[in-house]
Order: sequence, then structure tokens, then C-alpha cells
Amino acid sequence: MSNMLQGFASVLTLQGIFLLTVGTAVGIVFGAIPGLTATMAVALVLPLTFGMNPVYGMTLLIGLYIGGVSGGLISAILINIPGTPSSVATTFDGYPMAMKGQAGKALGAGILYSFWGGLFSFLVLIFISPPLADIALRFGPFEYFSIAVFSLTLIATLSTGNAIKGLLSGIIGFILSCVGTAPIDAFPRFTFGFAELDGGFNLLPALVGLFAVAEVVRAADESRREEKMTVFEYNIKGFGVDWGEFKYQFWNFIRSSLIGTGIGILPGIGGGTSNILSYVIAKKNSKYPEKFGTGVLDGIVASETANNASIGGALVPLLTMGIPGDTVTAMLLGGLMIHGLTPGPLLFTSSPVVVYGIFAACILGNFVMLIMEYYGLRVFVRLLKIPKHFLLPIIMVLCYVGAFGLNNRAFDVWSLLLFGFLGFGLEKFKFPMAPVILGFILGPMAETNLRRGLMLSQESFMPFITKPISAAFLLIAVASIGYTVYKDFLKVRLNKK
Amino acid sequence: MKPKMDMIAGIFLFVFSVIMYYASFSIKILMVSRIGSRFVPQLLAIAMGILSLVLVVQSLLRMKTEEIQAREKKGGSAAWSLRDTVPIWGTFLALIVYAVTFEPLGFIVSTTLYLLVQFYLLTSMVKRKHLVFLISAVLTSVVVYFIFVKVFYLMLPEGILG
Repeated sequence: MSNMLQGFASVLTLQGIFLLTVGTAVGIVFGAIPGLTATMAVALVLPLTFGMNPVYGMTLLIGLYIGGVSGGLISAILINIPGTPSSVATTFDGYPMAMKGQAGKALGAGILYSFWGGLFSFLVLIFISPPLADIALRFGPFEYFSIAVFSLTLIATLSTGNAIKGLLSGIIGFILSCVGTAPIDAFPRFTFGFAELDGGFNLLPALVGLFAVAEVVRAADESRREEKMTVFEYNIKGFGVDWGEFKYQFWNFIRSSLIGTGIGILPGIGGGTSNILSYVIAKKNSKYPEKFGTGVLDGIVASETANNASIGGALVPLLTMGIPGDTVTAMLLGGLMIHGLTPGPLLFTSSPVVVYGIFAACILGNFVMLIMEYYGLRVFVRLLKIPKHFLLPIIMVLCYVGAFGLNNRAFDVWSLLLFGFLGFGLEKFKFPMAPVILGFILGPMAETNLRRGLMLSQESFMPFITKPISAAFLLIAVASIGYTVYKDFLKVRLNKK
Repeated sequence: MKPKMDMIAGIFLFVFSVIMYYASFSIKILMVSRIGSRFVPQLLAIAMGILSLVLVVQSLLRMKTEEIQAREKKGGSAAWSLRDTVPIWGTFLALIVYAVTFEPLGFIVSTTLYLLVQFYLLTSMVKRKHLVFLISAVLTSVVVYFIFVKVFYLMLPEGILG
């Protein structure tokens, strides 16, 4: 309890509130503009936090995170393009509602349920992480290896499309992480004599390149096609739901919050997946499934609750085990490392102020988001009208600045480009990108712990299977691969008929 | 997803995995433990090799079934001109040139040039406003430079202006 109060105290300063407010605002902007995402926002701002104290740095990034995930609803409802992948399902009923003249209602509800979903997951985060960290403290290399493998297979098989491609993407990421110095014995790998490659590729340019640069290149690809975006007018009164509707949506809300938080906790997948899953499940369990897609409140509730709930969820594995719960938390991992902090169970005892500061930032940031989106909606809508051909090149410049500013060497800029072209190529061939990043981050964790474990067990593989937690995760990993390959196989079979 | 593209991707990845497998033999290992620094790269190469082959087979199977379906309807292929690919290649080139000139020319100069080129590449003839582009490019470079260097204490190359 006292930790929590300390956490709040460290964030509730003039500078802290300022950073939180600015962060959330910028986050909402990034979230609202299609093509810019929360991940990108965090990636771009990350190098700036270098000079700040860790609590303030994380506060800023958390503000970006919350704003970024939530902001997508604005463009989803008003122009039928999701501002971020976390708001895809919001377009399903949000835009039809706008077409029916109910844009204000949709927006209000979206904002309100973003808030509640987030709050739910933050409470889960605050209450679950300390005990979970305790358990994680007893994890050894065997358990970490299995969790890393489990996370990798999960993200590969659950990502959209072909599971084979998902696994291949994960492997690509893993291979890229092997470039540099090998763990344990420090022999150079795949460095081809280049001194710069000795340290391997840095996470920030990799992440920014994969997501941001690929986006700019894609804009170039599509630039020949004209797109006219009509933005709907709206009139926002209250939060879009009256008491009766609120009561009716209550179970939808609870269920969506659970789905969102749960998916967030699963390493690698977050808001992008949970919003769609929650929508689909809400539709299935509804008394009027045929109305979904025509503009029902349930759709927005399901989608927006889940995507914000994934924020708290994703922070759980990050803080307790150092495993990112989604792509944004992957960047937050980098953020913590920049300040010399290693996320994981030890963080709770070595730097509780940072951990509880993050918790406080989440709760406060949630309120800031609510207030900003509600009162500042007009501003954000205007920003939607900035033409892409201005925005994206400037974003590109900021990417270069971020990459270069990290270590003051041009090599990081080249890494940025390499991953950018890779990302573009992957997208062109319809390979999922998230597994690449997860592979890049979790690969070293998997390999290091595999080898450490083997050293401990005198070369025996048995402990990996005999230790209960390790065995459980490996089992699920194998099962999930088996299941998805089987599903794919069935699909091909069905197509033949 | 067109199966042909999957097949190309699969073949490419398979070749890559073979190359990687052989490249991994140059990684030194200690004789002490059975699992050295070579183990994981080789394992990954093998896994990639197998999976990419599966992808190729999958796409071949799909191409067979789609051939049958395609014969039933006569579809025209979308008009695709070489001119349409100019923005993409141009962007690739612009990004590379930007990276090359980043340090020697300095941030402000290289960024201004890059922005100008990129603005042109992303807009069609009609939408180009030359003066606006020029002013935005210069303004953005200078503003970004000042914010990041003077306010955030990040270091950016000065190049020929230094």
C-alpha cells in the first residue's frame, strides 16, 4: 500500500503531470491518424526519455501508450479507417452508427468504455503482478526457456493468416537476433568482419524500421491512388450511453475486459487481437447477432473495452518477467533498459518506485485520456485532415533522428533501413510482422536460458520436461503448433473439394 | 494471397536457410559442451528450411486448385504500368541516399533534401505545391534540429554547416 502511495507521489508532480498530459495527447494523435500507431509513438519518443529520471520517462511513455491505443476509435468511427490495429473492430459498428447520425453516441461510448476497460486491467495489473513476480522469482533458466518458446509459438500461430508464415516470421526475427556476439561464450556470429555488427542490431531501430519505415514505403506504393476521406460531423453529448444502456452492456463490458486483459497478458499479442476477438465473442453471445455491423452499441463496447484492457494485461508479463505482452511493451522494455533497469521479478524489489510509479501513471493516464478525448475531440478530428504526404516523410525524419540519437552512429540508421525494407517485403508477401519482433526479443532469452539450463543440468534435456512449469509451457507450445498446422492442413484439404 | 507469391517467398527463404546453414559453420565453438554457439543458428536454419519447403508445397497445391477455378472464369489482370512503381523505387533510393548523406552533409541539409524528394514522390503532378514543399522541408529540418539538439540534448551531425 505504501508502495502505491509512493508511486502516486512520484508521478503527481508538476513535471509528472505535464509529461503525462503531453504524452497522452501525442498518443491520441498517433492513435487517431491512420498509419501512425502507439508503437511508433513510443519508439519515436523513447530516445528523448534518456535524460529523464526513469519514473518520468515511463510516465511519458505510458501516456503515449494509453492515448495511442484509445485514439484509434476516433478515425474508426468518423472515417471508417482504424487509426491503429487496436480499433479495427470499432469500425464494424462505429462507422455504421456515424452513418445513422449517431457519431456522437459512438464516440462518447468508445471513450467511456476505453476508460473502464483500461481501469479494469490496471487494477488486475496492480493486484496480480506482485504475487506473480514472487512466483517468477523462483523461475530458473528452464522455466524461462520454456516460456520464451511458448511465447514465440503462440504469437506465430495466433497471428493472422498462415501459421507457417507466422513461424517463419518468428524465425526470421530470431535469426536477426543471432547476429553479433553469442551468449555465454561470446563468439562472433554472422558479423562478416564488420565491427559494427559485433553488438548486433539494436532493438529500437529494428522496431521502428519494421513498423514505421515500412509504413512510409507503403504510402509511396499507394500514392498513385487518390483517396478522398469524408469525415463525419458529430454532436457529442454526455458519454453516449444512458444508465439503462450501461446496465445492459455490463456483462459485455466485464467479458470484454477479461478477454482484453487475458490477451494482453499472453506475450506478444495485445490490443490488435483482443478487439476483434472480443467483438466476435460479443456477437456470438448476443441476443441479436444479426444486428452487429449495422450500428449497435455492443460492438463498440466490446472492441474499445478489450483494446484498452490489453494495456494493463500487456504490462503484467513485462514487469513480472521481462517478456513483452505486445509490441508497445516491447518498446517499453527498451525504455526501461535505457535507464539501466531490467524488467523482471527483481525490479519489484530493486526499484519499487519505478514499478509503482508505472502503476500510478496508468491510473492517472487513464483519467487524462478520458478528459482529453472528451473535451479535445475537435482538435484531434482536425488533425485527421493533415495530408499523408506531409506527415509520413516527417515521421521518417523523426525515425532517423531516433535511430541515430541512440548511439550516435550511422549504423543504427542503416539497421533502421534494413528492418524497414524487411518489413515492407514481409508485408508485400503477406507475412505477419509482430512475430519478427517477438523472435528478435525472445530469441536471445530462449537461447541463453537453454544453454544455461544445459550447463546446470550437465547437458541433460530432462529438466526441461520434468520441471512442472517448464513442461507445461512446452506442452502448450507444441500443442498450439500442432493444432494450427492441423487447421491449415484441413483448410487446404477443404479447398481441394 | 496469391499462391505464386507464397511460392516465391518459400523458395527464397529455403535458399536463405541453406546459405545460413553453411555460414554457421564459420562460428567457432568450444569443444567442452555439446551445444555451442553454432547450435541455435543451425537449428533455426533447419527449421526455416523445413517450413519454407512446406510453404512451397502448400502454394503448389493451391495453385493447382486455383488453376482449375481460373479456367472457369476469364479474368483480366489489373492494368499495371512501370510508372506506378516509380514512387516505391524512388522512396527506397531517397531513403538510402538520406542515410548515406546523413553524417557528411549534416542533419539539416540532408533532411531538407530528403523531405523535398519525398514530398514529390508521394504526390501526383496535380497536388504538388512547390513553394509549400520547399518551405516545409527547410522549416521542418531546422525546427527538428533545434528541438532535439538544444532542448533534448540529442546529438545530430552538423556536416557541412558545422
